[in-house]
Amino acid sequence: MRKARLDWCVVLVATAAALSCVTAHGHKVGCFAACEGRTVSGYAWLGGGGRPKNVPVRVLSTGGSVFLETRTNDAGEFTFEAPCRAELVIVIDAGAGHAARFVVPAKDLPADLPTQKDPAGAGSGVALNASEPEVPPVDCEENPADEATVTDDVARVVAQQIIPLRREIQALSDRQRLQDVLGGIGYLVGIAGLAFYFLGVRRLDERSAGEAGKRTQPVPGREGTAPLSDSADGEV
Amino acid sequence: MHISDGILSRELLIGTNLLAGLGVVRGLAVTDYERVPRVGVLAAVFFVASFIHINVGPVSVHLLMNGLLGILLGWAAFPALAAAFLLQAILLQYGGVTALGANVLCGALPAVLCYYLFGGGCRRAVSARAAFTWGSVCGVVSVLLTCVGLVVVLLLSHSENYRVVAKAVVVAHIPVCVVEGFVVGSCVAFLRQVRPELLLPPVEGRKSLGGEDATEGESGRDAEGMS
Repeated sequence: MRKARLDWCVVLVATAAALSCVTAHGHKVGCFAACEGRTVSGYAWLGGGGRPKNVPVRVLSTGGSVFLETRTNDAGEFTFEAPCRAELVIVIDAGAGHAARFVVPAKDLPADLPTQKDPAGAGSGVALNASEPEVPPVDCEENPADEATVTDDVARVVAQQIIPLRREIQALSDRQRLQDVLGGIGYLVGIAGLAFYFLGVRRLDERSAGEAGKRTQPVPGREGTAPLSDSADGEV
Repeated sequence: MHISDGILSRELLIGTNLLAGLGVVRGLAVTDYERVPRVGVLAAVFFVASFIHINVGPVSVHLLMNGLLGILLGWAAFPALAAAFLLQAILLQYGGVTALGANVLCGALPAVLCYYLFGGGCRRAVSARAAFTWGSVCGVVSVLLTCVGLVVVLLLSHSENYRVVAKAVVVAHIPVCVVEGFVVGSCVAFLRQVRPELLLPPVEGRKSLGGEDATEGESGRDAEGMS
């Protein structure tokens, strides 16, 4: 029992040490973007609380073809003009295997933008890898007459109110929560417990089958001695 | 260290997932009844250790502890790390689910290598200081091997500018090497004093952590009773 307690003490101490650092995490990069009129602006953020400076930003179509490429500035922000009224997939490559993507839906963009000529795109799947073979940029054709029903000023004011809300919502959903950490540990303990139980059942079956075999065959030289005892009996 | 989805090419994803799957199967084959709790506890230790961060300038790196997992688990480090990485990917979005194989390989291959390189030294250490030395060297080497693995995987995916990133990754993990050297060394010295059976080779007739039957064992004393 003392040995079991030692193992769990180790886990508890490690958990306590880690939970004190739960706010800081450098495992992932995230991205947020919103559009005001035709201008799409956004920023990338690191899990550890900073912003990746000067990292490549690629704007792709849903088919994988590249609209344009830019970089984040020293504050981790980026801005570009939307070329078409199409779904824009913004991909940030922060290096060392960390990447993030954010999708700007087409309906957020103003109605007077040209639409995408080939919505399926020329690429096969969204490629975050910058060195994939060159894909020709997407063509945008002139929009057939589609009257804008909302004035530009109203749209801009509404966007100014909505964008901070969206940013907060995404920050909330990306926040690392204590219950996720505890859930992960719980899953690991549970899986180990299940494996321990099933292997233990199999071991009990093997042992009872072995003892049944021993009873029918007396072992030479062992009559009168105590049966072999297993020191794992009774220990968890 | 956690590689996200979409970074690696399709062939690399398939290859790394296959190799990691083989490693997990091998690890499960050497995991028997007594070792299951140890595997679970160490997987939880790894899961939790990756929340302990060290800020190095603009980058934030985290502890790995795969050296300790290697010494104590051997090939069973593969299933332990696979479970921990999968839960981190699903619950916390650390790393991608498709890149699970690459992440597991980067974490578990160094662990298994350190088991073969340093496991014997840790077991046969004659003093606490020798055990600390063996453990700390194991901790440093395991972190360096993990960085090398990450760089190799990123280079194989033909991503641009990864020579610069490779240097940055290794430099950023130097403090992790220092901390882990100390932590793993202390753990090995502590275990040698308190529960040396965790470091001893398995009993004769049982599968060792390397998968082969052990030919030497502690006479009259078996490794059962470890929780």
